[in-house]
Amino acid sequence: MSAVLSPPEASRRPAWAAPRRIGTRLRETRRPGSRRRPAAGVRAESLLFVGFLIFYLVIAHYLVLNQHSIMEDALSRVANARYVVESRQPKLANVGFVWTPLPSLLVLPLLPLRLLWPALVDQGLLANIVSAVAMASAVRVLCGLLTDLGVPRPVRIALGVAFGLQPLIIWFGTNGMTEALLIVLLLLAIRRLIRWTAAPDPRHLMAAGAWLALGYLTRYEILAAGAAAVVLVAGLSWWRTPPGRAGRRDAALADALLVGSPLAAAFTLWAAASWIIVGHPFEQFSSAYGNSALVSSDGIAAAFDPTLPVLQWLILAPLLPAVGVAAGVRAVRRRDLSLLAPVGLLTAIIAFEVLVYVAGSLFGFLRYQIVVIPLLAVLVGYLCRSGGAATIGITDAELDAATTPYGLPQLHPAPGRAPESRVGASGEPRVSVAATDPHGLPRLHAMWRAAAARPGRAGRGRPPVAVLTVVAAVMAMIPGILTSGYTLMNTPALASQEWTHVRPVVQTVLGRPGATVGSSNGIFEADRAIAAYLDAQQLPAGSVLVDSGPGFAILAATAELHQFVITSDLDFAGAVADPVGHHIRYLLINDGNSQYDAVAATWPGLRRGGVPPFWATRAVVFPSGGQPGAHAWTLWAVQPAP
Amino acid sequence: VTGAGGPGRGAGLDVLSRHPRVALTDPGAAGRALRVGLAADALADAVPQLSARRGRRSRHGIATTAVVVVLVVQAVVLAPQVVAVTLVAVLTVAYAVTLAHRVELMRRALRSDATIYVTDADARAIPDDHLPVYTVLVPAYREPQVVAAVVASMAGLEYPAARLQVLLLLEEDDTDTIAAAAAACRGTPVEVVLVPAGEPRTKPKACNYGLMLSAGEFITIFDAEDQPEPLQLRRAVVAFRRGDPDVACLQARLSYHNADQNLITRWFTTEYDTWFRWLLPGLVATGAPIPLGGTSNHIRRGVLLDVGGWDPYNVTEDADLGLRLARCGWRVAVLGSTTLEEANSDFVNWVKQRSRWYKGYLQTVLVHMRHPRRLVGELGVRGTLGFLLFVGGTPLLAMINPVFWGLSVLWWLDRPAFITALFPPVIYYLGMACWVLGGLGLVYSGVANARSSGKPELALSALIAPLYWAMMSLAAIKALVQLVFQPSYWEKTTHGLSDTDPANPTVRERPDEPVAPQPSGDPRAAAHPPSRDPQPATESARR
Repeated sequence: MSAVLSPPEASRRPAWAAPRRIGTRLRETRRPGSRRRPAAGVRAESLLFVGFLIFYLVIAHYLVLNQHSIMEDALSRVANARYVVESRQPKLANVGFVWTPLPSLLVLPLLPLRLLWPALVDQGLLANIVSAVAMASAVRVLCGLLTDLGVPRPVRIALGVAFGLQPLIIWFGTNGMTEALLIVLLLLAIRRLIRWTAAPDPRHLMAAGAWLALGYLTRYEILAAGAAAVVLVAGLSWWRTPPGRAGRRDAALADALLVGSPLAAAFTLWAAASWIIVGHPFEQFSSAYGNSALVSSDGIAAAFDPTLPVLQWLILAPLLPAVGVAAGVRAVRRRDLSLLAPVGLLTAIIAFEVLVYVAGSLFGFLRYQIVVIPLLAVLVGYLCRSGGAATIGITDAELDAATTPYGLPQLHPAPGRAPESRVGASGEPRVSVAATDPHGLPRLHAMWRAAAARPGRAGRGRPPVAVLTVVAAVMAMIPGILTSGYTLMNTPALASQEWTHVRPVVQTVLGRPGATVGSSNGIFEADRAIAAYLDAQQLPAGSVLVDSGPGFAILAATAELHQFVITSDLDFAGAVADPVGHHIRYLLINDGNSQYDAVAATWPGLRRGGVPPFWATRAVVFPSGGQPGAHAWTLWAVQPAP
Repeated sequence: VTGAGGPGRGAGLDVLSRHPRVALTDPGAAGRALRVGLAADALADAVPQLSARRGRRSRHGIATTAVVVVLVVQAVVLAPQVVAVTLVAVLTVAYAVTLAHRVELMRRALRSDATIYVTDADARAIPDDHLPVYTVLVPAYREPQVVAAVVASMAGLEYPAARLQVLLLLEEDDTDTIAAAAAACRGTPVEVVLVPAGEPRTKPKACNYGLMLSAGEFITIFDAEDQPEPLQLRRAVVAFRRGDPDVACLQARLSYHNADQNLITRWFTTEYDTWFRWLLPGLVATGAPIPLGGTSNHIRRGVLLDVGGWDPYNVTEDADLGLRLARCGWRVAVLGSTTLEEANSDFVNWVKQRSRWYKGYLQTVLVHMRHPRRLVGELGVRGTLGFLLFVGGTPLLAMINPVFWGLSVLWWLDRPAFITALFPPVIYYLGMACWVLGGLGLVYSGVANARSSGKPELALSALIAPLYWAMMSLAAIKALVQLVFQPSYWEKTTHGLSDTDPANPTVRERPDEPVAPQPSGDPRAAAHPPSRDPQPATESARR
């Protein structure tokens, strides 16, 4: 009995019975003899993340608390989250259906922090924090993506820094808008798709699909990227599957489903929820609060200019055409399909923005073209790769192992032969050793490492070619930094929001006079004053009727949200139609905002110059600060029914 | 289990191992009688609390049950609303936790596959004379038509005949099958063992009988129509010798050769592939006990004798054995080698089979929860939770589904006020998340599994898997009813419904390999790993 149960004697084990690790992961793969230096690259990139996070947070803090530079959309997303938990009728549907919900849902769990630091919600600082985390993550993900591509570490860190310091990236990493989330989610999806082009592991498609679905819940534009991803994946999957009846169709269909169905589900669910709760599946287009309505009410659609998007691309990334052509040529020469992922997804976004702009449903804001910046960074990365397509997903250690101490490639695949594939059937994953560039480009990364490994390297003896690559990569990014910076400060026609928000801040920092001319900063001061005025009156719940469309800043700033009847409340429509019968004490009517105001639309007599109904008396007028985009409010007192 | 010494191999149950081998294998009438008795009741007599055999009800138990029943009735009468809301809340939370657990299992399996892989070369590297004797048990009952297939599959195993002991376990009164076997097995290493008739007439009892006659260091079970991958036994030997001595059992993967027969077999195949490629490795990674699959579990014979073999009173004796092994301190691992079976293709037959599984899972939970504190002591909190969520959660999800789907439909049709009252906001949102995210997530996991197990043609059927869930619910309800009225009744599954020739299946099983194909230079090379024919050769040159 005990003989059977005793473990086999280790010492008597024959060679084939040697214990072996099982189920290793790619990143843990080590070849015998490879040095174990796992963390260096990761550590540098984590530092980059932390550094940019602090940088963005400090700027965000300064923008919001010092300069009162608050973006409407950012504050309104925070206010929407607040309606979910703090309104008279708390429910998830209060998050609203005009805008996609993820930005609001992300701040939802952080709302209680308001008790410790009211500015987080009052002034929407939570949205800025989300932006900062997202943009710092975008820098990190970009570096990871470049690592996957086999871009030498110094180059990818330089590119990450250059990307993170792009003025528009800084601004959208700090201003609470959703661009940062859009970029990081796109980069995450692209990174997975690039890896999938190199190794058709369904897990990459699953992850990419999930990122795209989250992306859709952040920004509608992702639909275009998702469509591009589906086409790309289906096509590539078809092409890669060996010819044969149904096999190709099945593989392409399954892969397309993997990458596309989460997005399709997010799209369907969001539309269905909207339909069930507010009666229309696409509020963004149908609602009076949506973008389409905004654009037409502003009369901007008429001022459509086809050259505007092109100019904006050139401002953000002047070298994009040149770099794009070079990267394209190189990819064709190397037969590298992975380039299709970033180019396909990001150009789909750009095409979508242009199309919607042409259709007159979108303003010509510079931010809608922001994805050309990550596109440029990725394309520059493609030009700085140290290996061919075969190096995708290979760790530094493996690159090390594939090279001799002199930085010369050790393994040469026979010409015309695919690099050796060694997926062990034992489950011991082995990564194909990076093939050298068949076109004779030096393996910069390997050379760099070899140089770094030499004793006494501090600052001396670095191969000039590596330094040149870093310089070239940064030089490709710098013109965009300069042109964007210049445009932000000087060209309202191309960068309207930046001109009203960023320029005044920069001028203030520089101590220049006239900083406040044309500044939108501080536009919510009137709203905050109203909130303070009403809070002081200690009104009972449901006393003040306001449309949360234009009134979000008041609702964000108030200490007592219960006093308001807001748009998402089930009794809102009734209260608007019959304020007296609903025991409303005050109505808030907005003046000068392009946003639709349901209360003012129902009672046009309450607008400035109108004849008010008998039950309404003007209580207080809160004038606007005069900034572009600022608006005035009139507080009307409702005479209670006799 | 026995208290002294706590969990671990030191605590051995010594159920069958206490009997000398000579007595167990005695060919005479005395040996036969001993085996018959032990096969049915050894476990239940030695450790009654671990067997599903019904004992005499203790006075204590009856009193407790009575008190609980009275309290519940009282609560329902006095505060039906509170009881209903509490019940809905408890069920919703249980549902959510079970779902979350499954997602976590899949996530773990996808992150790092805990399956043990042995390469072909390593499997073949052991010289024949270093291989241990291996016993294969093949229980069959009223299946004369598949006996020839058994012989063929066993002949297809790449294992020296001199070290292979195949016991075809037939019921003594099953004359047709015995006659077929006598003809087919002549001159092969397949020995026919006649199991004397007697209750309970179940597969585990037959297996226990075979176990006592077995001679191998390792034992495995194959069903009559199974097509084990030819190197499976060698891989298991290598994995056992390389691995931790605590590993008492290796569960090989099961899949189906007739996936493309109809919609049910497509669904079933995806479900099995998810089970064996993701969920079980996920369980291994979380350190929870593994409910074994019905066949292709390779077990150290000594351990099996010690823990008492299979419980003939449990209708999923395989799952129960996995639990018992874990409680005795043994580990179970998943082996990267696939046995192809025939998927149940007939609706009624499928429901019968599935209801037996669910009933067995419920039985297993009830048996092992007899002494919850002892269970926690042996499995740990994590292990116990994993067991309850997985083994208990599987039938639970299927049973609750129709209730909640029904409530949802009712809500959409009529918006009755009582439903609003049943779901306070927190529970409502949780239920909503389970329904929408959980449902979509599980459908998606099916598609993903179809793709990763190399069967993209099953992706479309995976998209409409919720219809399959309805079948599961039907089976779960039947199981619950049967658990109360016929706890040990064994729903026999009819085999041979497949219209594909088992020797030449149309669905090609993807060679066993890690979940993740590793990146390689040529994407096309990685997409199509060098395939080898996983089918056992029907005619072996060796024999």
